[in-house]
Formats: sequence, C-alpha cells, structure tokens
Amino acid sequence: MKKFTVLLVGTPNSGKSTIFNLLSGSNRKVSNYAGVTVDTGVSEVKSNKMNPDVNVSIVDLPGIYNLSPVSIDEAITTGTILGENRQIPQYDLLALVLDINKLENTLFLILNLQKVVQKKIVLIINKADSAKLYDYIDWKLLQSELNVNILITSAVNDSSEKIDNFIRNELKDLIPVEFTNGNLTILQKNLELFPFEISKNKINLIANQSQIYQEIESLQKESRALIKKVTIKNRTGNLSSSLKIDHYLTHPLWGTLFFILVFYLIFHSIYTFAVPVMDLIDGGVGSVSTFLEGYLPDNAFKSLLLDGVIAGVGGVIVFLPQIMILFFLLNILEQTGYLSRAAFLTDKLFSVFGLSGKAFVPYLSGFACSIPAIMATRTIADKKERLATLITIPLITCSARLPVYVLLIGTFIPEKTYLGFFNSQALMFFFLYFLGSVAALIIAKLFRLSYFKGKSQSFFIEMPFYQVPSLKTALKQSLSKGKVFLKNAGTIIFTLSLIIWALSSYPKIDEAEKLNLSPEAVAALQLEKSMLGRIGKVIEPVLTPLGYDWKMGVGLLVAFGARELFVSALGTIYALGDVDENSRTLQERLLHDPHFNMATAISLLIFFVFACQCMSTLGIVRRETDSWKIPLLMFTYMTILAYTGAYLAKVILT
Amino acid sequence: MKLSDIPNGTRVRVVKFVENMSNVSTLLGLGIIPGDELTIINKALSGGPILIRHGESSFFALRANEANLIEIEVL
Repeated sequence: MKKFTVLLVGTPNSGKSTIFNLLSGSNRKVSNYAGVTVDTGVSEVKSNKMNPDVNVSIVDLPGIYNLSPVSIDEAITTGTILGENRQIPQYDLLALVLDINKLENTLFLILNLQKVVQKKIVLIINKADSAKLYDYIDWKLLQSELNVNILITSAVNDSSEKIDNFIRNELKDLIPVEFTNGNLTILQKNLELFPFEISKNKINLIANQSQIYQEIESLQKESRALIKKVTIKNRTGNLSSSLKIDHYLTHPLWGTLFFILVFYLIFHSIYTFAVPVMDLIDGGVGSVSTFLEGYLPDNAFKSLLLDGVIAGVGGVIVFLPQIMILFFLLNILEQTGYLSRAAFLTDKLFSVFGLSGKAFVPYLSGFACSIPAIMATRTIADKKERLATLITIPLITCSARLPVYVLLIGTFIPEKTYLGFFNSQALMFFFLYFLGSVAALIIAKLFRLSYFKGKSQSFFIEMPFYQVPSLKTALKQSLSKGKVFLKNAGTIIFTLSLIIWALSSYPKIDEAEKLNLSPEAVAALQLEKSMLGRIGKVIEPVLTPLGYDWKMGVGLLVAFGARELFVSALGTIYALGDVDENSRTLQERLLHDPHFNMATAISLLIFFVFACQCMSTLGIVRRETDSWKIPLLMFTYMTILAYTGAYLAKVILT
Repeated sequence: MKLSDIPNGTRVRVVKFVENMSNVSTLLGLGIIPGDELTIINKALSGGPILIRHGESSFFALRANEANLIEIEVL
C-alpha cells in the first residue's frame, strides 16, 4: 500500500479547514475569522476506504500571509512546509488554497512557495460560489504560466469527490517533496517563534527586515503582472455590500451599541430559551425518580440508583440545552464574520489594559471553553502580550460554570422583570460574566505592569466579507458539543456520582445510634459520619469564614476536577440527606437547607467566577508554555482572588 | 500627513513603509505595496485602529500609531 501525505496551505480564512472537513469527514472548527486554525490537524481522507492501495492523509495548517513568520501559528506552517515538523517529517504534495475574492493579492504566495518547494504544488481556488466570481481569468493560461494544476471549487457547495479526485490524480509515485535550500528568508529574531528546530542550511537568516520586504514586494509585482496577463474581462468584487454594513457596524457609537446589544441578547437567550426545555428534562428526571421510588424495594441498590446516579447525573444533564444554545449562537456569530469587527471595536479597550484586539477572539472562545481559547492565543505575535492574555483567559466564564450559575441563580435569586424586558436572573448572569471579564482585563493589566512587563505594540486584522451563516453548520457544532457534554455526564460524572454516593453512604452508623431519632436526623447523622462527611469536616475550618458548611466544601473540592461536578456532587449529597418525599429536585432540596441563603449563593457564585477549577486548563497551559511556572502562577492568583472575592461578598451581604 | 488625521472616505497613496513598523511583511503579503491606493473607512475611538480599504478585495484594520508609520500622500 502506498501512503501519501498532503499539506493544505493557504491564506487565513481561505477555507482550508472546510476542505479538510469535507475530505476527512471530521468536524474541525470553521469560522469566518482569520486565525482559527492554530494547531496542525492530521486526518486520513474518507475515500481511503474505497481505495485500499492508496492511502492519503491530509494536514490542515494555520493560515499564512507569506512564508516569513511573525507569530507562532505562522511559524508552525512555515516549519512544516520546510519538512521540519517532527509530526509530519515529509509530505508528497502541497495544496495551496486561495480565496477567489482575494486572488489578486494572494496569488504571489504560489510564487513564494515555488522558490522553496520543488514541484509537487497544486492550487485550489476556493469560494468560487458562482461563475461571475472567477470567469474573468483564463485559467488554462494561468495553469501553463505557473506550471501547476489548478482546481476551481466552492468547498461549501461542491462534493468531496471533486477535490478528492483532483488530489489523488497528483499522487502517483512515492517521491517526497524536495526543497531548494537557502531561498527562504527569515528574520533572525523571529527564529524563536518556531516550536521545533530548523536546520540552518534550509533557510537564509537575516538581521534586517528590509530584505524580506523587497522580496515580497517584487513577488507581488510579478504576480500582478501575471494576473494582468491572464485577465480576460473586468471583474466584479464582493466588497461593496460589506463596506455598507461596516459603515455602521464599525462606527464608534452605533457599532459599540450594536456590539453590546448582540452580546446581551446571547446571554438573554441562553437563559430564557433554555428554560422550557430544562423544565422538561428536570420534570423527566423527577418522574423517573418518583417511579423508581415506588417500584424498587428499599435497599442499598435503590439508594445507589436514586441518590447516586439519578441525582448526580440527572442534576447535570439538565444543563444540556444551555450548553447547546451557547455553542449554536457563538457559531452563528463566528460564521457571519462579525468577530473581526468586534476585535476592531474592542482593540482600543484592550490596549488600555496592555493587550490588543487580537485578545478578543481568544477571550470570546473562553466563554465556551478555556482550552481552545488558550490555544487561540498563538495568533498573538508578542510573547509577553500572549502570556498575559493566556493567563487571564480562565477568568472568562466558560460553559462549565453554566450549570453552577443556573442552579444557584435559579434557586436563590428571585425572578423579577425590570423595564418590561430585563429579567433579574438574566441580569445576575450578565453581571457574573461581566465580573469575570473585567477581572481578566484588570489582572492582565497588572501582569503587563509587572511580570509580563511591556507595552501593547501592534494590532492588525484582516476583515472577512460578511457571510450569511449556515444554520446547518451551527446546529452540527452545537450537537457535537452536546454529545461531548452527554458523554462526560455518562462517564466522568457518572463514575464520580457513584464514588460520592459510596463515600457519603459508608461507613454505616450503628443501629444503636439511631434510637430515638427522627428519620431526618438519622439521615443527617449518617451523612456526617460518612467518609465524605469526615473529609468535609477536615476542610470546614478553611470555609467557615466564607459561611460555607462541609457539604459545599465537598462540592468545591470535587469541582477542582471540573466545575460541573459541583452540581452532581451536591445532587448526590442532598439526595442522601433528604427524606422528604416532596422535594425531588436539587433546587427544592437546597431551598430547605438553612445553611443556604442568597448571601451564601452569591458568595459561592463569586468563588466560581474567579477560581481555577479545571485540571484540563492547567494541563493545556503547561503544554503551551512548556513549564509548570505559568500554570502554577495562574492557579495561585485565581485561588486567592476566589477566596477573597467570596469572603467580601459574604461580609457585604450579611 | 498622518493617516489618523485624515477624514473618513479620503483616498490616499502609499509612498513607503517606515522601516521599524511591525506588520509590514503582513501588509505586503496582503498585496499592499508602495504606489497603491487606500481608502479610510472608519476610525475607532481616539488612538484606536483605523479601518482601511485596499482595492476590490482587501479590507483591514491597523492601530493608529502604526498606520501613521505608513508614509502617504492624499489623492
């Protein structure tokens, strides 16, 4: 069997990831924003199943504007093209993907590549959605001028076969790509951007940037002359409609108001649209529990099932609709191309805090999950600016905090409507998100004044054209996130619920101790004497100043593994302590606990806003920064902030 | 003449990029080379980025202090 590797290279936002997904059948993140692909994705193509003799893998690489990198993600691409990426030591074909709308400015990239890579290059012209976009060029002539094969496609509309066949036709014999050494000019000080060693004989290291400028400029001129030669009629651009919209949406006043409105509406919908579905799920969980309650004999298994599994896992799956709505709306927003405008509008604000508009998209991704957000900081060229962004991202309210917020807000914040539209619970929600974001900016500023000292230098962003979002893509994204969430509920949370149940049910207390006690008192005593109760008692002194009891302490402790575990742990603990047949849901049970009131709830919420309760985040930060120093620093400052914030909230509110 | 002092809608020509400007290779990669025409679309609040149009396909934003490192002449 012959094994081939194909690199997908192209300008940012040219649709490489869409082509990658089409060919491989995978679901890599696609967005109308430059710099979404920050890591190398490798996958076998779908058609390998039908072609047992020829095995093709494709590699999706971050977008580049030219071959001399100025940020880490660009360096990954250049390094891989040079064959220096250890994960992809060699390849057989380089497919350059260009956006037809930007052809006249980006065609020079193929001339740039041809100076470095010998033969084995093909050109894929993407986003050719209608003939009038591309029929102004004599493609046959261009093909012979460049001496590469060209495919014109629209990855959104075309079938995968078209692109697949085009690539397979190029893969005949197994001779990996070879290089012309010394033709790639790289600035000495940018060498540190490469995450892997680059052999010096392949590149031409220079100290002064002007040589790079001259090279690109002359290639651009060459490419313009070429385009002029192959142009057969006037072309019609796509720019004017985007410009008209941007006249308002990037306006300092109207644009800012629109920006605030868009983000308020997102939080509003997460809260309001999800409620009916959540009630449905909650009701479902409740009735299953009631049904089993009457059906099963009283024994340990019944308790395990009702108090462990249903109360624990059921408590968490209630939040499925909210997670899905959040990802759906964020994806719609990404597809439209609005995010680049948001980065434009927020740059001034970010610059006050020592960051740049480039921090906007990582921060925004942070609302979904810190892990991709931290990876997205690779597009920030300045190292210290990147670290200051990265270390503050976990303060942004991620979707794992949602279950905790919804539970506590829904239970303890009375529902009121202001001005006929603003809902008190939605406002509280908005406040917590706001608090996390403001804290992130302030802490970033403190870091920029001290540990990561430096001034925010530059901000550059290319604006994609506005695009009508595809509901199908957004739905797919939302479903796949929903699936991950359910899978977690079925595995990690399920297992943890069993462990919590066992730890809070054993060891059993003596029959003698139960004498003369009411069933409520027996349940409470049993909880207190259990393993978990004892652990909780040990940590209780730390939490007493905050007004928390040991149950909340245990919840907080397990939440350091992952935040949503707080909800499932409380679900199980409260179900075990509950003998009242009438309260079936965790909300009702919490309301009956005298330790829990609005002040405790708000203090807990504040704790969750600031605390770094996510092992995976610490892991990714360690990977991205290649040391334990930054993750440790992150964990420490966030924990101090959480504890102080929670304490202040408690003192102020009681 | 500084780009940040020029009103929206004005057309200018790029004369050259000042040596120590940081995004030059990206701008060149985007096809913006000396001699080309640019149009100012919108400016964010004072000192914030400037939204600039180049030809029929490029459309980008650059912070004012950096945009001012592009030597221009008003058309």
